Amino acid sequence: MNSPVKIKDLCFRYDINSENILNGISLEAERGEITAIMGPSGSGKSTLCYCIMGIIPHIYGGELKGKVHIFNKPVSHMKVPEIATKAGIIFQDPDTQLFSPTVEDDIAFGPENLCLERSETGRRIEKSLGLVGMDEYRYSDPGRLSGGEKQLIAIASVLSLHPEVIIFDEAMSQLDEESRHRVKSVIKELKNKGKTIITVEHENGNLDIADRLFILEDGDLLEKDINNYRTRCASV
Amino acid sequence: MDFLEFKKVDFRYNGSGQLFKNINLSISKKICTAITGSNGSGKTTLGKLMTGILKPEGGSVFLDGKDLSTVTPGQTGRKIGYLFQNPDLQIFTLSVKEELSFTHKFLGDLSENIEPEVDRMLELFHLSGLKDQVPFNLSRGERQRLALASVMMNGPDYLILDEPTTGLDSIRKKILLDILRGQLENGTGMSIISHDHDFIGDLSHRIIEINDGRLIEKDV
Repeated sequence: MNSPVKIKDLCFRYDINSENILNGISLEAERGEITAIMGPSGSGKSTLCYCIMGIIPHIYGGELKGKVHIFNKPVSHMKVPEIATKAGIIFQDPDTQLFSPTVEDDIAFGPENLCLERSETGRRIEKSLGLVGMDEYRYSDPGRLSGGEKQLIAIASVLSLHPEVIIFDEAMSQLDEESRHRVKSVIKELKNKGKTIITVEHENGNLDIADRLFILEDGDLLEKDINNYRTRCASV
Repeated sequence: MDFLEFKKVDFRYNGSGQLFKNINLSISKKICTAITGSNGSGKTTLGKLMTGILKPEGGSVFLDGKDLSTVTPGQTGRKIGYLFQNPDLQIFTLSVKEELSFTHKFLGDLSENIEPEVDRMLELFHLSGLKDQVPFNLSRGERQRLALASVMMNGPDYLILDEPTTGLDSIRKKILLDILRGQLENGTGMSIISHDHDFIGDLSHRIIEINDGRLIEKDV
């Protein structure tokens, strides 16, 4: 099967003198599937996300070995704009991806850079804000929003690009129950549309929507029986 | 008068609607008070009003009997340790150990006790192996632990922790719970702003929910 995300024997270290943070890991994430990744803080979960998105090696340096492919193409050979049309990431810290004077401008930034028609950009802004329940904040200053509201806008910004692969790096960490429920519903809807979802989590309570679970620890990525980790599963 | 007192406080951000109108609040020093509420309800704003980072539009906030409008940030900082929601807002030195010792050295404390205390905090927060690292190369969870350790390092009388469990795995969350319980037993009270109901449920003596600008006492 041609998995949208295919990682084979990936090793990575930020500094040539340090130990590998990823030590020969392999992963295939499929269409219409939600893959959850858990592990202690500092174990390399965000680093793995950066490798999938091509942020490593295109932005951050280090020593990388092994294969990371998106739709059968090595991300190291793809240009960043090409990756951005196929995969999107919601970072742990929404402040790192919101930079415009209004929410509308922030969400429009991606579609405008894909040279979409203005009318299409407008439709995408409206749709993505509606999906995360933030319609009324369209003209607000993102800098004035709470941490949870910023996370919702960051999610809307990525959704507006219609990526096939979407990575949520602890993207629900600052959300209240209602917003978390809403975002989980959106993720399930994306899964049903055949999108490939990878979600980095610390909360077992968010595993109710996941299909597979991997634990990243000491540089190794091991698949676990997700049913042993599911707790307090709210029905979505 | 309690340790923290809000008297008829009004607050709004420039160009935004009224967030708080005529609110009164008393917070005791020795207990753990949880502040909850939906996204955007004003939890972080309330925390910043408690420390004088934000000034009320009307009314007054008193810390230990003194009107915060008459107190310098340095004086507030000696009483309150504040953890920002985003640890990157409070980390600025070039190494983990320097971050921990910064306040002591800044205040002119060059005693031999600093280094052992730095080592103790590094061990307590599982950061020993990272002490020479540049903080901005750490993961989000590690930066969160470093920010927490830096706040604790200064031995404040009272803690205000804004979403302290963000980025922490379950083991580190349990360790933080034990550390904060120890602080409470030693007489250091705290306000915890959080969505993590399990965490605050295990620790809090009092829960206040912010709903539509009103402060509502909830059952513990």
